[in-house]
Amino acid sequence: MSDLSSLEHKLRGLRALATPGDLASNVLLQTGLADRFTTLPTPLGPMYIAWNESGVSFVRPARSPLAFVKMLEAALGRRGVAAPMPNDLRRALQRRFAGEGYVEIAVDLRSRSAFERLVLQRTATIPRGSMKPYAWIAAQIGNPRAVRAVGTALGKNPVPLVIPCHRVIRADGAIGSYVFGGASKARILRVEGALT
Amino acid sequence: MTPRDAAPHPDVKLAASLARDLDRAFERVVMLYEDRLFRFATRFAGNALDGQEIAQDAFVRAYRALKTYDTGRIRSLALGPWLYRITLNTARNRVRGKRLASAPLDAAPERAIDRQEEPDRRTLAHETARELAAHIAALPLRYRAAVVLRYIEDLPYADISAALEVPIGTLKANVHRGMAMLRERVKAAEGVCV
Repeated sequence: MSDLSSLEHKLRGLRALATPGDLASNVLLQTGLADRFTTLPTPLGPMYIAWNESGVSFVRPARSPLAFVKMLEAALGRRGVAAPMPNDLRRALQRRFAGEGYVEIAVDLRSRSAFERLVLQRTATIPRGSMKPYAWIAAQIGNPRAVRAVGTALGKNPVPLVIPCHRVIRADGAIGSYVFGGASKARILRVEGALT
Repeated sequence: MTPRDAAPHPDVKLAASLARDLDRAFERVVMLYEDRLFRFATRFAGNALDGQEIAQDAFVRAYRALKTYDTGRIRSLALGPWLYRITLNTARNRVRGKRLASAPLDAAPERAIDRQEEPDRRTLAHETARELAAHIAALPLRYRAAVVLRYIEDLPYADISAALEVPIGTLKANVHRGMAMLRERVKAAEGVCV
């Protein structure tokens, strides 16, 4: 084998190189195409919670990290990357779930329509221990006839518990539907002291 | 098969997907090119730590650039050469900023070696690969990129010419000169070792 072809052969040997496993996820996180996630205890049991530079983006119970990643991709079209939660966000969420006064928590609602964002932002102002009817939200956002649409928007809440859609009930006093089911809604309302 | 029947190059379809929905398609770009850009950046920089940072920065710069392009421009991109060009520019900036690690021989993990080989041969092959990688990383910039893209990345001259933005004649001369320098350095090192 000549010097040159031998050198070419050796150079081809340098093609095999293990790409670091975190390279792709680092890129997706830096470009905002992936969210970090972890689990936290909540009044409704352990929940997977995702966040990004804009705020908390997705809250759901799941059987496994992989199941949560699939839910996140289906809902937001973004990849989930398991990561430790920053201490300040963890503390804010723990205080929010424990009802320890008002805690500011940024949320990422970019995946929702302008109407849905309006509904969710208004819902976020309902204090712990109280409940409001769907019609109240509709009136508050200047669209009193959109009661059914309010219910649909709340059903798409990507961050339940952080935005307390469970505090919105029917005008006749029935608690109505909930993203985690009616029993969970009654349970969290009892924990918060809104139901006895 | 006539040209009309030929399947389009995967990059053409990917560029069309990027033009349609950048955020959804960009992950496919990362998956398709992460090995190539990491390998190119590592062989260019001489170590895997810088290689990873360069490749990551290059992807982020590519994404930000695509955000500013109109759909026609994205659709007409020669994706591979364009990504290599961004990676090269990112690497050059780091070289100029002297932010590269100083000991290339200590870094890049080599897995080119057959695990079934006996330990002595494996160690020898590993050492040879590390030394060769160090010799490449020590080549002058204009020869280094040309040699890596031609003989490690195995790109055709037309794609390298587009990536480096140099005429094919100049490129071939650079590849030839780079290989000659590399051969001299390898021979000199072997002479010292024997």
